[in-house]
Amino acid sequence: MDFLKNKLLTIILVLCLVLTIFIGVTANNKNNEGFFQGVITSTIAPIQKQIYIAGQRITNIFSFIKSISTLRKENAELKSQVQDLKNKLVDYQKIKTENEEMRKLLQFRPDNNFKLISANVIGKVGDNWFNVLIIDAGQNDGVKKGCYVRAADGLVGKVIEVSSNTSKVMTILDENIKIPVVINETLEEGLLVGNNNSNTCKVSYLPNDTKSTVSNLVITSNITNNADVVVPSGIIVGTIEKIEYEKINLSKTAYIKPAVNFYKVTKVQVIVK
Amino acid sequence: MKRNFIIALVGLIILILQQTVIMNISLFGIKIDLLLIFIVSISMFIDKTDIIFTVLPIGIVKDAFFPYVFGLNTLILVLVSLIVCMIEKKIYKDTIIIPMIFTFFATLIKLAITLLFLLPTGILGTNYNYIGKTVVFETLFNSALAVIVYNYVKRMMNSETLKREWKF
Repeated sequence: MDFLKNKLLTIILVLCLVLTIFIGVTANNKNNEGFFQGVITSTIAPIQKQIYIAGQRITNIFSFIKSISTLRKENAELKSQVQDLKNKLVDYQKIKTENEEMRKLLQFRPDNNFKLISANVIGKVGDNWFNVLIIDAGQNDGVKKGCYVRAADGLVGKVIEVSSNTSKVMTILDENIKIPVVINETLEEGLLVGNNNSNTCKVSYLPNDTKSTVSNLVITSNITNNADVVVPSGIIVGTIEKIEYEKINLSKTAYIKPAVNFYKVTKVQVIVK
Repeated sequence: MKRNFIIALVGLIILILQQTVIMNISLFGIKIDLLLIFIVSISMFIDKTDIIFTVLPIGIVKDAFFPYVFGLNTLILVLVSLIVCMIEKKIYKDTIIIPMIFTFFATLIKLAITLLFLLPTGILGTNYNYIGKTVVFETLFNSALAVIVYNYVKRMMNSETLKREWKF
């Protein structure tokens, strides 16, 4: 066997074979977790965190310059919005007190039996195929696979892989995401799925005669099939931009503008039991 | 030794930049792969024994951060750098079009290997419109950017600091 005499060719062939086996095993489990990966990500995470923050600061400068022209208009809109919200706040306080009293009378179990773990976004991975964030909280902080992640504006996604000090979070823009959601105004249930890794996502399987309309709010539902995970209902996912009829599954699909700006997200919270 | 170490270090810095800054920049929804362009450009200056051991740590670090699969990026980077390394010796490379062509085909190889492993396992959805768009735009964007990256790499490889060996 002449080719075995060539050491380089042998090394390459063995290397390719080993890598193919690794790909096969991890792809079969759809899981890239392990001690080795954990050590590498934990070592690089601190450097990556600083560079990510620096990058975000530069992006913020550019977006600030871009927004100067629209500031006056935005200010007027926000002032009228604040006035509306002030009126709603009076009603809200009244209803909240009533609700608390009723819950006490009926001895309802509170649904806020969860705690929040704060984390920083330190990177984005997955090339053009996946929309995955790396956060600097992992197993040591209590993060588990499947936990939901939220930012100040709304839902970010859910944890898909956990190592000792970092975790990978599949965002709601990812093609593989599947999260049960509810339309806030109509209480119709649907399934949140990604939209080709674009800046929007969609809610599939809405009833054919849906009453949901454009600008309705989409929030999380508390349905889950994972006993280790707690899903608080009412986390804002986004607003409906358009609704289309899907011929294939005879249902309607709503296209959602996410509440979170994924270009600017830096701080998140992992929801754990 | 020194040269390979510095190249691997620069590669790791580019990988970190890719994961922190470049992933936020997209054109028509497609992100460029600066690391692949760098590896292709570097492969035109180093011999094949050195390139494998320089590319290997970069690929492993990229794989540690990659979701679902381990080894895919290392395999892509090793194969691409090796192919470029073997072909470049046989052609006249002193024109700017050569790194562009190399990057064009390297991106195609990268996408082909990715699809070959991720489509049958069901990790990647079968949205052929999006796959087609990614193939077309990523190859074009990467090839266009190769001109700039290649010039920087060429300057780096010809610098006196990199040519001088470490003295222990």
